[in-house]
Amino acid sequence: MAVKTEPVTINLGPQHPSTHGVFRLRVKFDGEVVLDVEPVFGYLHRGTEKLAESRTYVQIVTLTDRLDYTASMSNNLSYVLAVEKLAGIEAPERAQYIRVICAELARISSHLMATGFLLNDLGAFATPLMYCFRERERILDLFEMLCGARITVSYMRPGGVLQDPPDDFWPALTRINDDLPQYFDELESLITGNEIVLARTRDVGTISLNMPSTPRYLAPYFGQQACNGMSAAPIPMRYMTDWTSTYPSAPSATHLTVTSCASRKCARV
Amino acid sequence: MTRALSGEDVARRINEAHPDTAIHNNDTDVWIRPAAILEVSEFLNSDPDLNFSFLNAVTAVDYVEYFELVYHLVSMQNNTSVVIKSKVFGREELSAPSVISVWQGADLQEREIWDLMGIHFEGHPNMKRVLLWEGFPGHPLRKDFLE
Repeated sequence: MAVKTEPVTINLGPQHPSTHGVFRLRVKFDGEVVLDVEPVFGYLHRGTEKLAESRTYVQIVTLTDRLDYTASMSNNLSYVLAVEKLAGIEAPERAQYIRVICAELARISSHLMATGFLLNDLGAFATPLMYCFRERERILDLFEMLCGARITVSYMRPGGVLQDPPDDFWPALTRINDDLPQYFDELESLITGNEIVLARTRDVGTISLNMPSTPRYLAPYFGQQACNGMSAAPIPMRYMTDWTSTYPSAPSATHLTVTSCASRKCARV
Repeated sequence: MTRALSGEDVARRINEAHPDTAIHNNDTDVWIRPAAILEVSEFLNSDPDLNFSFLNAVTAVDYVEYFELVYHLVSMQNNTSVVIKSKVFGREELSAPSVISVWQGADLQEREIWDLMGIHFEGHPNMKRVLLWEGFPGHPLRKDFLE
């Protein structure tokens, strides 16, 4: 005779990979079978758009730092570009190049953090994370030179940037630029091919290009992914094309496609 | 880089398939009638040339005289994008068709729009608040919502 069961609703969490208390799942079980899952979130919602309503355009830059504090430069950039588009302003060319350099540095530091924490969560406690943070620190040092802040930079302004980089910024940038490729080789030798990393990541959470069959995804999943022969990231990077046309030796915009060790080349600013 | 299709071109194709649904366009955006959101979405998703199988984001803007729904669409196969917009007039008991049957990714974002902007999506299977609690007075991202 079959055992009579009835569904039970249990709260999983509040748990989140990075912080406690911001996210929980309301799960309906029948025995060990999950019947339904409902995410409950919003505890960390800061109402940035509402805060922005009562501030000036320049003040809002500080709010954009906090949208994602590991990529504050990039968030600054997209905000000031929107303001400039609305106001019909064009930033000076020098400022535009400085912005791209900063956004790229922020991107590298974000990737370093993601890679470090991925390995941390896979069980390689602290060591690879510290390797990643070692280089990330040097990028944050550069940000500190630019504006005095390391995380919440507020460096960009509608119409330009806060100030011109100091003289010692450029040699420091060149040194990082020279060091990063060998650093990525080192990091890659730790990760790519590692049996545990492969066992825990390969074929996990694959997403089909055939959207109608796997439709519950939104943009970030695809931001930097190379999907079967697609030659560029779906998110447009303004100025990237200007950059390559002005400096023919600079990496082409297609380097944004991240495929295994090709990602090393991304690091060359 | 993802190529933005011309709004004029996309508007023409929408009107060829569903006459008089695309009412306005500029370089990158197409404005459609709110009542036609679902049929135009189905067309954009299923048309073999346009192939907009991916809804990047759906959001809403309060322009006080009207609300504007904004759909950012991407074709992963063609590496192209387009922005579809729709003006919803009025302040009370607003509604628009849900596109969840076309792009399931719209699920939480349509709920967020209902929660914060107060536009109800018809045909959404779970149309309830997502960030705020049930019973919260008003929709806080409206311009006339003051602390």
